[in-house]
Amino acid sequence: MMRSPHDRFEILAGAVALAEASDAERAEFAAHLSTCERCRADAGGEGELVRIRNIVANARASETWTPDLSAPVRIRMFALARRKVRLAFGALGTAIAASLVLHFAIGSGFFGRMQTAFTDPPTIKYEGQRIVVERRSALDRQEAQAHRAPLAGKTRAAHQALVVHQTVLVVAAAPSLTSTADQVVGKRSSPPPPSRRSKQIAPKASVPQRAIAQVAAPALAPPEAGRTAETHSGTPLRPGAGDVPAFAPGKQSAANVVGGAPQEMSAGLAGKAAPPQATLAIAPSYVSRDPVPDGGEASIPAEYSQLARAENAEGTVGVEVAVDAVGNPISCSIVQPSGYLVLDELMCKAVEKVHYRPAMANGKRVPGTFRFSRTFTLE
Amino acid sequence: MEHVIAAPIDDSRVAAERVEGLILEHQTKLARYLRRMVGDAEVAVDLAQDAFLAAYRMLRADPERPLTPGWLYKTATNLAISYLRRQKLIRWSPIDSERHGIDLRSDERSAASVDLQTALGKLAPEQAACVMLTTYAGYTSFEAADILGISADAVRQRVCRAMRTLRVVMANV
Repeated sequence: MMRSPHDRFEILAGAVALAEASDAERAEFAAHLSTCERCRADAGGEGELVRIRNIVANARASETWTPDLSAPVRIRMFALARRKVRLAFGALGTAIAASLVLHFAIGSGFFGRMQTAFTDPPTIKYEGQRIVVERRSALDRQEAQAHRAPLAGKTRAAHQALVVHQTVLVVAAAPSLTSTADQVVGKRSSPPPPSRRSKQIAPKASVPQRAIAQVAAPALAPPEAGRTAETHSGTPLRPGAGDVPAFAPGKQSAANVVGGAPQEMSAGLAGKAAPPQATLAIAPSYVSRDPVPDGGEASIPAEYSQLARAENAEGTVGVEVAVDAVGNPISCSIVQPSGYLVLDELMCKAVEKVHYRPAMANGKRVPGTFRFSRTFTLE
Repeated sequence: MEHVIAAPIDDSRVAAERVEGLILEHQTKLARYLRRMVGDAEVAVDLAQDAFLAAYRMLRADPERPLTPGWLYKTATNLAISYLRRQKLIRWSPIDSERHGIDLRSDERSAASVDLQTALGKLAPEQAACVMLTTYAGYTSFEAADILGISADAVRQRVCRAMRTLRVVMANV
């Protein structure tokens, strides 16, 4: 490539300034400088170039600033790693985890054994860095040990996978669950409000103490003698949760459960450091429940109609909604009128707009009745 | 199957450890280089973090990959140049002729050092990168050419032009 003499000079001058020029190059530089007035004025001689270079090089020597990047970069790396894990195990992860657990459970003959050896379904708990498999069994200790041995390796394998996506798996005590038979329900485990819906979800390791007292209350009963609780490491664990009564909404209040196992458990779990990300539950087949709106009670529209607003209608409306076996509202009847026809109609329209999880009886979907009341006030 | 799933976590950990090593070794040099380039200590810290984070992303994809200081300088330089270009777009106005702030600690404020920082602010980002990589960071024109993805002659030419500007500006400050 042909270069203009000035370009060639600039390259040479650069080499001279960086003390990289050979003797021949330095001579060429000097020769051009002696003939070219313009370049001499612009760049100055070799001495000038070296002076500038030394200023830049010496600037480094005078610097004392020492920023510490370790902590902020560590935090950002951690955030990045978390985000990647969450992305990888977001929606898909729930499905993968579910299939893993099913695979693990079926592969190890969990379900088969459940029917023969174990009277209660197993509980898998994720506690910090370990996973605990609890099986309350009518077997004596030796028999239980024999059943546990082939399972131990698989438990560890499942554990590894679980730690990866920080998922809590609860194969939970049966009657506290509302899911259909063998159905896997993934749910974010932010502490649920003690609403009617959250009561029907299995007790979870991540629920704060107060919430556990309320949520877990109906699902747990006083200890029962003659049963063994086992972890995969062989140590007896949590002798509290023995047999479990069927869940009856609204029959047991949180105040009923003072002292005993639930409180101990909730206190222990509340102290755990890292809250798990998600909960999976596998429900066995003997579940009973009333219908509930798909999106919870909050999903029932609460807007005033123009007519109701015009009438300044305020008051509490109680309704009963008949829900069929697939979750569609069939009819609505007012059990507590507000005194305003327009408000009563508004309420019925609202509850008929939502879809429901149908009622269950012994694991089968059946028609049922959803009761609901709401107080309308104009602000 | 669980090994496949566990892999990213392990890789992340290895990558994070390597990055922490790089930080301990290079953070001061890199941050000071960036401060000279952008003339702002806070921005320099941010850009240096970005550079190490870029290293982390790369190492997470391939934890065994060798990573030279040159790679860090290359990333840092590119970050600085894009920052300076952005600044130029945002802050272009006749009133705001002073593109660079002078963000040196009080004990670093020798006259020559301040003059240099002012003069560096007048340079085109690419010229500043050439002159800083060679005279300040201590790379040869060939190494700097490798870092910047240009020829060694281009580096030398830019160094010459940059020095011409520096000489004029520092004489007038």
